Amino acid sequence: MRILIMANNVQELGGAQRVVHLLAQGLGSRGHDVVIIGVVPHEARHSYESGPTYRTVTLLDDPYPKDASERLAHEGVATVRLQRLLDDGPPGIVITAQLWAMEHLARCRLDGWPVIGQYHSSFEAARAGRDLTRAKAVYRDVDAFALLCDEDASSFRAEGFNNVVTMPNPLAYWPVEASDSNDPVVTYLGRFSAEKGPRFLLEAWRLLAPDHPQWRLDMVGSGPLEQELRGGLGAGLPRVTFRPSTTDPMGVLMGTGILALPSLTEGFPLALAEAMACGVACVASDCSSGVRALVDDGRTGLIARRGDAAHLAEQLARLMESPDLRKRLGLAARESVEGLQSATVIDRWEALFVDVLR
Amino acid sequence: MSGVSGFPDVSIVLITFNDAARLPRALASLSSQTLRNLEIIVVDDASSDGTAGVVQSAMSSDPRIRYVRLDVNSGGCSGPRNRGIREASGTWVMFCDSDDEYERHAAKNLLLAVEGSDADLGCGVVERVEVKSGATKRWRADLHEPGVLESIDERPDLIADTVSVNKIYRREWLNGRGIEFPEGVLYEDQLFTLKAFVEARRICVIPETVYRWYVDRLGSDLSITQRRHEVRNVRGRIEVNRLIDEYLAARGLTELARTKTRKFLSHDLYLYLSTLLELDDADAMAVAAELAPYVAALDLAEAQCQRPALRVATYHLLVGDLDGVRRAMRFIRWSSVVDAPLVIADGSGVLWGCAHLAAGPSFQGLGPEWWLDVSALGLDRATISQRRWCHRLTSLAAAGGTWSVEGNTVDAFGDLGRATSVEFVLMLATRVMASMPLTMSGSDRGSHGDLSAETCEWRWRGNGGWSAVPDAGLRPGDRGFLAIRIVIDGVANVMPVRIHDWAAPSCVLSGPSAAIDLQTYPGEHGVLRWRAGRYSRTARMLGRLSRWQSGLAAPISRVCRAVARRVGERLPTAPLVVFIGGGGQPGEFSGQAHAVSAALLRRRPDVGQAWEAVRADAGETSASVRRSWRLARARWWVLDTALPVTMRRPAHARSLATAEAVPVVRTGSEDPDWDITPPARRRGGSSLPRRWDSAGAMNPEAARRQLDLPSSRVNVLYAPLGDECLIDLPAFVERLGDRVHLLIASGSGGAVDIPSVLRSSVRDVSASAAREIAYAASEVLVTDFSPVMTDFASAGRPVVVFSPDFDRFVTRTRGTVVDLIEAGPGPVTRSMAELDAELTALLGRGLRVAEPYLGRSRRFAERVTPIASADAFVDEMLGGA
Repeated sequence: MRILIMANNVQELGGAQRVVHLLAQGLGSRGHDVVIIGVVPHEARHSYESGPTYRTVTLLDDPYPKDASERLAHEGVATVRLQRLLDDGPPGIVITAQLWAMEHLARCRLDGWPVIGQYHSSFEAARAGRDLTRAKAVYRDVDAFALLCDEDASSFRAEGFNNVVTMPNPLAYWPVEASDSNDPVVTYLGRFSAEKGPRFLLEAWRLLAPDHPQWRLDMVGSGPLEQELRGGLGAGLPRVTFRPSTTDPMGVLMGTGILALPSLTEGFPLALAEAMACGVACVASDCSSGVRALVDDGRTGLIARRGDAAHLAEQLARLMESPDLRKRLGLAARESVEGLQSATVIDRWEALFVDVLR
Repeated sequence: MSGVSGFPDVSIVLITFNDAARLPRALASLSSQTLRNLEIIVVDDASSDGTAGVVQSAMSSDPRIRYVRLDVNSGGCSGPRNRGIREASGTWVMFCDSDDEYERHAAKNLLLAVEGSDADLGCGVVERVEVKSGATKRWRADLHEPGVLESIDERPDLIADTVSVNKIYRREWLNGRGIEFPEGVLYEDQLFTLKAFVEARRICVIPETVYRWYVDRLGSDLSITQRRHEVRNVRGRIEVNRLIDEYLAARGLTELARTKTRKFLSHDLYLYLSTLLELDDADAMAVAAELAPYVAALDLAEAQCQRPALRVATYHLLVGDLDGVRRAMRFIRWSSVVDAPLVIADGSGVLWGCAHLAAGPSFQGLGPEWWLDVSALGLDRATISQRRWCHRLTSLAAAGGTWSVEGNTVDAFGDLGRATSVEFVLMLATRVMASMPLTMSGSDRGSHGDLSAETCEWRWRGNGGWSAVPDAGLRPGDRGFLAIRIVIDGVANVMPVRIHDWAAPSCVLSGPSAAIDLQTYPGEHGVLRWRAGRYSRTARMLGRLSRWQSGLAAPISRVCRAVARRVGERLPTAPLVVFIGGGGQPGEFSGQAHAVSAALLRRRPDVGQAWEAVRADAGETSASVRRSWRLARARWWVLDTALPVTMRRPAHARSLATAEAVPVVRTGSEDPDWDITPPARRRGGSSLPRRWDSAGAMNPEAARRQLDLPSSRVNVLYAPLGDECLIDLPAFVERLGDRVHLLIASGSGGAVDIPSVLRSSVRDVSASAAREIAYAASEVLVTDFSPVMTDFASAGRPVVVFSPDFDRFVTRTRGTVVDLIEAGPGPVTRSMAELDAELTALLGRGLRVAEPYLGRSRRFAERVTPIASADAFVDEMLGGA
């Protein structure tokens, strides 16, 4: 079947893009004719390995200009090119991974093409900005509107979306065995930016470090706050290592004792899901419906109050002091995210296609 | 991989009869369902209009449509629907009526739900759409908590969902169990859905809206002639209820039968008894005669579930006292207006006073004191100003300049007899009761009869018509109602005058000038309303003349107005102050404006005063040369409302603002991008005018006494910018009612409908006189974007912003002058739960404003400089000249 997956762009190294490529990979390898369509090129031009299983297309040759009248011309070109792709064969299914991409699709004739819309942030985030209003304009009438977790789905339903389904993001990998690492390492894996909350973790570390001399803190990542963290807050703390972001998160995770996710805002954090897949015990801040969907506090991980360093330290200490608790939470976590294995999620997508086509 | 297997998943049976106009909408909603694998069976009950053509043209674009035409009209819905079931080939069946439509995902949502849970029956939510206003409401959404029920016993209340169109049925199961629509019965849905609920092996309930039910309220509420079918309808309803009872009895389903009895007594019976208010005596007697035997045979102990007044009405129905039924139903329909004496019994609460109280018959062992107990309404807790007197009009006449008004009031609480001083005033109230001090001339000398009697008679006579405050006058098209103001020992109560008989008196009251008369007519809730217009012969003639003149002379007038403005602005200013008020209602000025006017008159009688009412939407309501001249020459502008974008203040005029005039929402004048004034004419800067600080202007204790507020609870003011109360009042009272007394002041002064059972905890203070006192009396403010926010902020009182629609309003609709999230005087809440949490926290802190809101409140209020009193206001005004 022809499957078109649309995103704002297909080259950025972002969460939505990673998922789009994973999905295309999965569906392509099952024999579907998959094309990923980006609306605009992205300067980063991260090359995902597209391989033989799917193609990528970018509608426009350059990004949208600032000038309103020129934007109109760009919009026209994008619409015509997209329409050509749609008309280029029998109808299949269109998946729009992002709102802006959907707004482009909405300008086309869709004879016979069912549409599945996706939204990768939480309902809270949508309501805080303009996304909720935009989503109401384009996503209420599509065949299915896929959210990342049940909580978001029911929040959107309460806003009059009668087509919501839950579709989690797939994991990029699934380690054959759970990590049996007992290394006394707390790991931070993510961008060094304010909304990811690395400060709170360092703050918590300041409280923890004196009482746990054998433990180390591994800060893996890069980002705008890096210099500030290394030089300021992080410099005075014992046993903190800064490492550049990695292309092998699994390798990092398999050698860690605890993963800390101190974020202030999140959607459906992949790093957390991946750590859980590795059987690593996690402490995550209560910052989104996605986190709440992943971590069942006390069973598959621990939840710390958002932006509360003292509570984060308290929860970390509980794990640091009990190898048994780490083991128990880690194994339960791995079991709980089994459903996020790529094959399982692709199965769910195919089941959704069946529902949509009925 | 598509699910098409030759047979459709769902067959939708669309029945229609002579409805070619609305049929296309219904058909389109079915054709565009996101479930593709369906068939649409249009069963035409032998229509004689263009139905066939409509269906044919739809069939040409959608091959899934089939057309079945009955040879003879069946006269109901059952025959066509049963025929549709027989024609269907899908695994599942659904029903639709030609005047309604399906929600886009309805069929798919229901199908996936019943398949997923392997149920025989699935149901979703119906959305009622008012045809005229477009307002929507989810009908009985409380019943549709999502879930899978093994049988109806798990949730017997669900049988109240008696419509057939919001459900999906397994076709083989319907046929196998012999469930079909009973023919020759009205309200066939009720028996059909009940049987379906009882027979279903599993029932799936989904939370999504599936059906849009278009309700034409005008059609069902309008006139007595359209009520002629009522006797037949009631007979039909009772018949279907008997069938249901027989069916339940035959199946031995006693628990379900009990639930059904409760539903009948609390829901159905209310509807039937309500109609008695509109039927003439003969029809009403016939309806009552149908109902009474059926009700008498029910298990009456279940009447415990009825609301008290309905139980009173039921008792009168059983006794056969039609008038008594009507009194009790009026009490419910007219929002707790008490039209019967109440008996306050020691220790056992409040009883409804009527002839049967002492020696009325018992029914199934339940005596009159059980039936007539209305303690639960808390009527005895209401204070004088909260009393809901029923002022009943018995005669109204006006001819040749003389008029008379007569009627009576049942002194339900015995207040009049007890009081030491009682004063009656007849008022021509506008929607904003006290703000328009119109009176009938001579009316203040009304007479009333014996105050100690149970029923107090009153009478007013006069010659000359109505009179009003100069310049705040009425315009043709304005509306209001006749009201009586009773002042008992210094505490006032204003209630409308009502007419009990449907055939209401209509007459014309002439005005002071030939310009405007008032035409009376019956309004909702029996209230005698009036509409201002030109009704007398001379006035009509003058009106026609002026209309002709204005039609012909519009361009000339426009030029004259422009000239007047230009010239006026170039001349030195005149000692004239223009009060600019409105907020949508012409003639509405706040008490502050009136106070300034009085202070000015006292100090500077030489300064002329003019009153200018603007409508926020239209800008200018009247276009006269005199008006343009006045506005151009006035030395002072007193703003009593936010100045509309279309009005321009001349540079030399000094402006001051009352509390009502400093907006939180954007009006356009503060933003250069929105300003439609040509740049050349813009004045430098758009500094806010100085304003009168009203919350601090009055002693809160005195204000509370004046409004007769409870002192044991915290008074919270809810002041939405618009007319709509977005607080879920029952939930609010349930959670906070014991600690909080809620005052509601709607933005435009329109009355807010408060359910009678909540009246002891919620109070409408929208009328502007009460509103300003309420500003002073309240300890906490809940609002979306009302300008009152500034007053509370400046007084250092807590503010909670509550707007479920906050984000859309701020980003899309109008936006606010200050970023309320970053710099507002209080937390922003978007849901009842958040509001509840904030208020609870606030009560827990003893109403202390928490940081960061303390500092923010101060900064928020400092946007404008406060003025403390009317005299200071006048000083400020004159001093700056």
